[in-house]
Amino acid sequence: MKAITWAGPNRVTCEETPDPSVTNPRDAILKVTATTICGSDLHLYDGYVPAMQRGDILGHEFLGEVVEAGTAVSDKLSVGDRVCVSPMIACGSCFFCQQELFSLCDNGNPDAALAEAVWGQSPCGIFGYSHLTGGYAGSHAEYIRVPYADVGAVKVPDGVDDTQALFCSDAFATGYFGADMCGLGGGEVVAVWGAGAVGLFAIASAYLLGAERVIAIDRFPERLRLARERAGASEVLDYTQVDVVEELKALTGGRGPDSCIDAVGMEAHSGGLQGAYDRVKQATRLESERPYVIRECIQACRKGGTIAMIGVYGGVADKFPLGALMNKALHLRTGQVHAQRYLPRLLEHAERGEVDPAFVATHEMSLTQAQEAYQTFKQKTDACVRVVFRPHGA
Amino acid sequence: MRQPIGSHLHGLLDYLTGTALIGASRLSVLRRRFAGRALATAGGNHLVYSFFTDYELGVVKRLPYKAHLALDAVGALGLAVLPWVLGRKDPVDRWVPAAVGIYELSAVAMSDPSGAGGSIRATRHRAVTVEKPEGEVRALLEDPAEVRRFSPAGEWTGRFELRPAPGGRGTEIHAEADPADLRRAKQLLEAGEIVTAEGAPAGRRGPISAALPTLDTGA
Ligand SMILES: NC(=O)c1ccc[n+]([C@@H]2O[C@H](COP(=O)([O-])OP(=O)(O)OC[C@H]3O[C@@H](n4cnc5c(N)ncnc54)[C@H](O)[C@@H]3O)[C@@H](O)[C@H]2O)c1
Ligand SMILES: [Zn+2]
Ligand SMILES: [Zn+2]
Repeated sequence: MKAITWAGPNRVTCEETPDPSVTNPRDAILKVTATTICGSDLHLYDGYVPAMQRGDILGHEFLGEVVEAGTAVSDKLSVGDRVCVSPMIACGSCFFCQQELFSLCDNGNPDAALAEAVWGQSPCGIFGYSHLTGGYAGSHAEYIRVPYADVGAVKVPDGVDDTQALFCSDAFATGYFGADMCGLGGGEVVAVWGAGAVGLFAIASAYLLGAERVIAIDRFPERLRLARERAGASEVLDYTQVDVVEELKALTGGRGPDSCIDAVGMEAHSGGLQGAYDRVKQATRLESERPYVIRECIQACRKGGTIAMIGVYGGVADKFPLGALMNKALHLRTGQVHAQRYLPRLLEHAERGEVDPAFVATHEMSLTQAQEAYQTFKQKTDACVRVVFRPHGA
Repeated sequence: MRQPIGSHLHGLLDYLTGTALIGASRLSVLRRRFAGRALATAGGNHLVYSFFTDYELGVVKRLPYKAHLALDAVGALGLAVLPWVLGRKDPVDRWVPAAVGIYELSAVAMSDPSGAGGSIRATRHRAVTVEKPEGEVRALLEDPAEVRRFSPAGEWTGRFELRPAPGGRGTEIHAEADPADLRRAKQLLEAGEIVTAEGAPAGRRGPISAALPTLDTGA
């Protein structure tokens, strides 16, 4: 089959690979009907996640059609079912899965020893996401093997089209997860850093969960426009034009936002001295993150407020404002998305027309345009928010 | 963090590298020339002192493991610089021994001198918690067919202790065991199968993927 593989930092190729096959009774094989490049793939593309190997198939946000179901899942899934799949590979029955903390599943990562050596404990497995999270083949391919398919794959209702369902699997789920972690009770002000697909869905989700105002922060005008017009942000800030912390104070009567969502992660962009400092340290691998956004969240958040970190980090950060975190009694909540928990609910929102997740799809390309697709998404050229591949055509 | 290669894995690499070097020295491109002789000597030496090392895979355990690592380092450095010292100009004679020397140096650098290693450690007391009642756990751990599944290398001793986890949150298995065996037993109990990415389709791997996969950044 055709697949997009990692070929070293900033290099991807489309090549012929073997087809996947059912290996375990709970597996399903899917024909991938739609898949997209996620911000997390950029961390791999850029070479900031260790444990990538040349030839690894990328991609974890996808939708597909069941072509084969293992013996243990054939009662739940049938050939031809249209399913949306969580990027997180989770067993559904361990201590963590039982509490719906699917991304913390104990039994999803076959390379758990590696993750344990780096992080103390291992999270779940993730499709196409380095050998730290299992070395599974990803979804930028014509076919994919889905382990624990009875837990990870959810049937898509007829009223939801492919593109809408596609983003429910990761970007929408993650944004919703971020808003959910804010513990909104109604009437809050939420600030969201990053107006990529994840941030945009965090904005929309914060409203679904009761926020009164949501402030979006980014530097790309077209993304800020989507934040306002499609996700409903009440205010937008261009962080290259204003001092974000000061501006947020001014917009919130001096108090600071009740909740801050970091939807940017380890490759945040910043100018000035701070930017140069972290860039040099990250390039020389003295720190693995460029942690401005989380620094700003901590600085800006109101006392006793909540920070939801959904942007991905991998290693260690410098100049982390522990003093502010502690003295302001902030809550810091984090994690890879527990997508299995949210998928059914998000598909319902889409079916009822409350959110149209397809609005982030700006580009369609074929798998053979791998390098161009990754480069366009990375550089955000041509107002790109998300690139969609349909490996078997539209 | 500990260096990832423990003494057991190091021993395996020793024997593999030793035989591979001798094998390589017979290839027609290397035979009867400096590069081939250098590789054969290095491989032979390696096999000999590995045979005498006091680690798991040593046969006559006389040479301390730390001294073995020192020999590795000296030998590797020698291999890397010898072509220059001897003024060899031919690229094969220069770069083949140098590349092998560098590979060996990196293996030494990743070896834990205490022998324990970060990822492949000697077995010691370990525990894992399983969301299952004690009876079910015991039944699986004592079933020879299941033991073969979760301990394919046969390292499971069959001695273990079960304790109820606090708060009624399942059962703790305590044993002197390979952590991977315990993990697989837990997977069989909780998920009903052993999670794997083996056989995952992939594209072309890089030249050093097989030996040092995590260093194959493709760059
Ligand atoms: N937790 C999870 O499970 C999960 C799931 C999916 C994605 N993610 C993470 O979410 C993040 C965003 O993903 P995406 O697909 O939206 O990526 P994206 O690259 O499209 O968006 C990132 C946005 O952040 C903006 N940005 C950069 N520096 C900034 C700064 N200093 N202040 C404000 N904005 C800044 C960029 O301009 C860009 O628009 C990534 O880190 C990704 O890894 C996490
Ligand atoms: Zn993602
Ligand atoms: Zn689980």
